[in-house]
Amino acid sequence: MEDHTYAFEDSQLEVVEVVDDVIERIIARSTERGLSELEVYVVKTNIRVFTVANDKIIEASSSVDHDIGLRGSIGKRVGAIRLNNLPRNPDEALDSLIPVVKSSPEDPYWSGFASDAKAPLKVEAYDPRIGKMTEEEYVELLKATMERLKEPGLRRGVEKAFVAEGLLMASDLEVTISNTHGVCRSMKKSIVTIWLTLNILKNGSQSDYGLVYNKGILDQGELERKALESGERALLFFNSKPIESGEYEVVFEPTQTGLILQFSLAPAFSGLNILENRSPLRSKLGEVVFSDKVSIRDNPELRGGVGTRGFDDEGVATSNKRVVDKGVFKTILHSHYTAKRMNTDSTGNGIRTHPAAQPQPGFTNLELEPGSGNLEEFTRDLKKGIVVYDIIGYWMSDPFTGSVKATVTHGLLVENGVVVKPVKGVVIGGSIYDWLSRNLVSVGGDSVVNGNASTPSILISSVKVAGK
Amino acid sequence: MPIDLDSKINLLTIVITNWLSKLTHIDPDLVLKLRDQLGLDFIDARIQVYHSELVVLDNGVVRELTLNKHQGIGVRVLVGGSMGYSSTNSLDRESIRDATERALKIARAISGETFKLALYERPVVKSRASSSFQVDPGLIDISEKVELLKTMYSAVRELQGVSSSTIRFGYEDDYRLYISSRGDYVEVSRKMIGAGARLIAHVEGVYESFGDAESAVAGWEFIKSINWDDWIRDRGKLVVETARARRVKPGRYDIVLDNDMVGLMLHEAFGHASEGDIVLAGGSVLGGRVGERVASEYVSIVDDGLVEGGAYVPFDDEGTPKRKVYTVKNGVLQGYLHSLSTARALGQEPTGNARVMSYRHPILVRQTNTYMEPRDWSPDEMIRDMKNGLYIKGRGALGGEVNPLTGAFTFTSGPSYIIENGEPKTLVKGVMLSGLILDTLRNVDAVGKDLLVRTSVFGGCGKSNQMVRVGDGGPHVRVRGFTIGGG
Repeated sequence: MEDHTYAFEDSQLEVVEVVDDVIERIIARSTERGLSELEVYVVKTNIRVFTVANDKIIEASSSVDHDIGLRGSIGKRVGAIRLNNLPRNPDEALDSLIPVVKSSPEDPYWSGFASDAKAPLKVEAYDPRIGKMTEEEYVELLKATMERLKEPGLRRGVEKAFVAEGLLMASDLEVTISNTHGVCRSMKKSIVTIWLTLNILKNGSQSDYGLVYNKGILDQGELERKALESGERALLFFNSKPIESGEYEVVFEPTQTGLILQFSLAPAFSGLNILENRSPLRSKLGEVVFSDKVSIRDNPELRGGVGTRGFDDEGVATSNKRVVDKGVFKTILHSHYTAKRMNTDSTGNGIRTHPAAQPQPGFTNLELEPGSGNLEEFTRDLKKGIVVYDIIGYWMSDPFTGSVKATVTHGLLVENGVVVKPVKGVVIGGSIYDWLSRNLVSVGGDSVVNGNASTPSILISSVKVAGK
Repeated sequence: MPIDLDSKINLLTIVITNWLSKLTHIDPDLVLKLRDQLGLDFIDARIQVYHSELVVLDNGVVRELTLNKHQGIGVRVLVGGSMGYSSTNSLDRESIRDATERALKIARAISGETFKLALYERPVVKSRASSSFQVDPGLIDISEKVELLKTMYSAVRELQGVSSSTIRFGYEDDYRLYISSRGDYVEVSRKMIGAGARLIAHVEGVYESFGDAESAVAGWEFIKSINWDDWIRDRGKLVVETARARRVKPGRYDIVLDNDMVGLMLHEAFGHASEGDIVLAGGSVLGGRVGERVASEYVSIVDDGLVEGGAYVPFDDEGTPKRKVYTVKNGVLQGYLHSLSTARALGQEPTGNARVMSYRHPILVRQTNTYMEPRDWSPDEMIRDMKNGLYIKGRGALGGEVNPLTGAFTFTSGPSYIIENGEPKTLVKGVMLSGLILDTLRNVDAVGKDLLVRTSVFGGCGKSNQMVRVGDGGPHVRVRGFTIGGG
């Protein structure tokens, strides 16, 4: 097997060189074929996935893939093709792209691809161990994490503790952006995602909680601590039920804060949504929009953030900046396209949904700057409230209106600082603009990085809850 | 753009000469040799050629006009009861061999930690199937698709109160070939098409948004069958009206769900928990309940890959014919949805529900088209009989989600109506509904006769980072005491 491994590594080096060579030739040929501009975006992913069911690793996969976007323009006409194989003959790719560009109606606002000369921000976005760890090492890591997750329950004498479902996904990525304006940047990225649902049984009752670890680096000490914490939390939710409808104080655990902000609020800062009249923050630049306890940062330097990067998806240098400064809306997030439409410079926030998509303004990493206090302290402060540990359906919140919607699957009803009973199956709702201004009681100091967000616990008053 | 015949033939030639002839029954000596050399119990491959088109018009300006061409091979090996996957987008013989070796290597890496997996031994399948269409959308010039969206934009831009419109056209052509060392050879080709819009209203300082789309497993004729100007104008008027509408007070209500909502509810409230891989993992509240009453006697739930209006799934991604399956009949749980491995492990028949998002992905048990069987109520009669409550509409809904272990599920609606004295009277903004799997379907007390199933080329069902096309629906259904809030 060793021979095969070495043979594989050699062949992948060759593939990268071939892709780079083809990109150069396509860009060189594009002008001769009549394109005004061309941009090539290539993502090479080396991914390994281990799937867990019923306390066992039931299957695993290991793959290398390419995902390639070619965008071209002729005057103000812009079109794109997305491929996973770049033909060695540049004309083959251009034969597909050029008719698409020609069919596209003119975009009156088109100002070309980016030509950023600024040096990228220096960031730690790559953990080389994620790509280098062997399959056997990942199996050991997964087994150790599952044991840690079960440990608190077993220590407290539950009848059974097992990981019902989950996966470990380790991605090692190489991203290359080139265009006819001389932008030519590449970066390495790493992402590790671990999601494990612990199921525990005691006296005929069941409870569960999920460990979620989604970061750009692998910190095994932190992973172990999170596994133990999740194992402890699983003990909290035996016999959970809906509670009476009404208005409650609500404490969101740090990760839940991040989910709420990303889906109900983050798109409102996009220059495109502001230009196209679908952001509640339109015309609010420089105004107080939230409580002075709220400062939100676009932080491309966040340690461990999945969105940590030195340049955006157009090759433009990123920058660490406050978007909301003590409640005041300070910065509109821009791609090159929206910046030109608003006669300003890109903020380095052009983010793509796929390699051939037009970059749209979005956060690299969203950071709600920490205040003081934490989940436990906020819980003790509650007169009558719910502590929310997990939610579903939050992604159906509406950033165009600021309307928050989520269903609590794991919560605790607290009265006068004391936990009364576990809660599930209740809907929470309201306006994120109210929650972060007149209803905001506290922003905690216990920030957690999850995906491309860093957020602490928050305590909100007068949240509408639908239950029994 | 169609999958061009040359590239298809090229691909298949490469695959067939460099892969099929080496690994399947076509050359049994080579299969035996491979098994001897690599120690394989079983090997299969999913080959996919996927073309799609997406056009997005954002307030009249083309935001996206993209052709997508992906192809590749996913390889799965079963060795000593361990299952390993790999994939490659390079279709040369060396890459395929590399992928096979990676799959084997990773299967061996987990061999000490896994159950000894086995697959249900079903008869060999050799078949091909193709969804029907009249006019190949790939042959229609892209400019005609852009023109469709521009016309829609013209129709909605003049509506007072509509502040933003994002209009889209989508088309996909998905060709899949499944081959296995058992000797299976199954080709499935499916075309889907659709158009839709997300509209934002800004009225008296209040924003409201509404998204909707029409899709079908069909060709360009589907687009021609709809008056899109009227379609988008109606939705524009609705979003403006909804901006002025009030919110429902959070609480519990008796409700009537329309066809779209019923499908969404069943998919979330029941479908996921009936998926064999979740049941096998010990992650479903429906585990161990076959033969038990889990819903009211009026409820029968079907998973069917070929129902009119739904997604087209004649075979699953293990080449198993998709059977019409009752998971619930007259309120009683009949069984689960299965792949070959979950059927074997749970001692049931495979149901044809092993699906992958693309050649890159591993098999999961997925729903196809989930719907409730109709009964005898008319929707009007149901609403009249209820007197007071809510009429929950699906147009504009964003989807749903479930935690199958706790049994909590949730989904959103589009703009809906308060029912007073047996009539839908007052428009209200969309809501979020929440329930518990083992409670909600017991509270169904009336099922309509108006079955309708729909699918979408713009979305589907997500599970473990894989999205697949699904359909869902049913007749109008009445449920007593549903938790409603949000917004």
